[in-house]
Amino acid sequence: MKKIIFVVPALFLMLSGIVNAHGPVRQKAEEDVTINAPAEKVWGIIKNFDDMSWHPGIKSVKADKGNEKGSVRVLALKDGGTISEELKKYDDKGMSYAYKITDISTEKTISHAGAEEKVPVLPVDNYSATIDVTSNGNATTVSWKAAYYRAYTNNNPPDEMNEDAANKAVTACLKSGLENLKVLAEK
Amino acid sequence: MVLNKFTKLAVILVAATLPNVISARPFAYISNQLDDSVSIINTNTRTVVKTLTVKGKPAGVAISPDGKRVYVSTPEAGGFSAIDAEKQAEIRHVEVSSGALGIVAAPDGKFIYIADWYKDSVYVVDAITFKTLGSVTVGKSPSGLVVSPDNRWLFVANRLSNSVTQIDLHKMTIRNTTLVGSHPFGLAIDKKGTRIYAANVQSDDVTVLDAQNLKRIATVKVNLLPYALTLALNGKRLFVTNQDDGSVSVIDTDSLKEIRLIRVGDKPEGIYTHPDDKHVYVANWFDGTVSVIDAESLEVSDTIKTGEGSRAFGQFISNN
Repeated sequence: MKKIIFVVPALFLMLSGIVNAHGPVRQKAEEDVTINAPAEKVWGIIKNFDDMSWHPGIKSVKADKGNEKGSVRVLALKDGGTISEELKKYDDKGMSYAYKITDISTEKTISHAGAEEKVPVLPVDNYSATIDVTSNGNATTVSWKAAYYRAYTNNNPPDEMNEDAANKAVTACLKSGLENLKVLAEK
Repeated sequence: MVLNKFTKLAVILVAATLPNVISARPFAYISNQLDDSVSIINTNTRTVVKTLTVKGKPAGVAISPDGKRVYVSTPEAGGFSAIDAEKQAEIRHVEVSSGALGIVAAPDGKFIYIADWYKDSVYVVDAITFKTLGSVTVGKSPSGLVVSPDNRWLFVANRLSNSVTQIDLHKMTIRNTTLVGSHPFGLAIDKKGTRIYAANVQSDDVTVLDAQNLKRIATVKVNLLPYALTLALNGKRLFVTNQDDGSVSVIDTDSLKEIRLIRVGDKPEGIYTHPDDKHVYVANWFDGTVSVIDAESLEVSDTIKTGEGSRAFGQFISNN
């Protein structure tokens, strides 16, 4: 290899010792529930993308294209605020669907590191999830998996927008949903 | 062959003093980002033989051509970890820059190239002294890196610029940049260095480029969120991880059509071909597993448990 001449060594050397901004690391959450009811019954309760009445945290849902891929639903939350989600995969036979959050309304604005930061009602970014219903003989397993980033995309997040806040909020959402689904399906 | 007693004894002694690792090559090195670890897989037995702690959310993987060094980028520790493959231990952490992600080793083993996601630059690190020699400014959020087999060109996927940049490694300057699909992440190059393949995360397709002039040859539709890709069977098959579909698309590189969709684990990310050219390893981020695909039968022949958040972004299997 020939000699290499680099153009910006001075500036580069000045910067190289400083560890500053880095990218957030993707997080995951997974919750499972075993329900003593046939899989068809359980799937029947959750199968419509425009119906989340089974989830205690959600007040109402509207979707523009039902269970068609690309359909966008807007969830109105009981505690206020909205989340928009796009249907990415829908498998009626396999009893599963996958979706992605496309928009989250702001819960509050905080001041952090000299800037105004909007804290979303669900403190996550780039969130995708899958919900899966599997028959286990007489019982049914429902698995809900989510992958996402924290809401704050720069370095040094505020407490409201860090990994911990994201993980807690997502886990609570999945858990409460599945617990209520079990109650409804076992009725 | 006839061996006298003494020779036999000597052979046994030598064999006993060498760690078993030599006979067990090649190895796959899987970065587990959420566990701060690297799982070392013996690809003969397809088992994890060791799990190393590597701090700083390990993501990208590169291996020196002689298989003696493994380089794992650590985005939260601003650089990479250098691992001794025989001792299966970290030699040291090398500080490069803050958003280090994509990493590749030069085919002559002299340099390590590392892309910084935030500084829009590729850094050149001396593989012996671990000193950073300089950098080249490329497009926005550079991600995947590949070097041409003749060690002349470095190709960079610029995720937020929707482009691929070709760097002249003799002059360390940009020779060419071309637009590809939306948000290219992983790159692959064939063994002859004639074609570049870019996985476009946002447009759900693969751009095929002529490696010499960066002309677009084709765009091949795959599935949801293609992330990284690798070639097998003498370059006849291209395998692409579809992160949001839990699958791998198989593309015939003659017809440039998708010929099969293989189910793997959840959120497949890093993908690379075993040096036998017949087995493809896939890191499943959500499941913390590695799927082994038989490139001929196109079936998953093994699933290996690794660690939380397996990414293995790059060329993560040693060549020998």
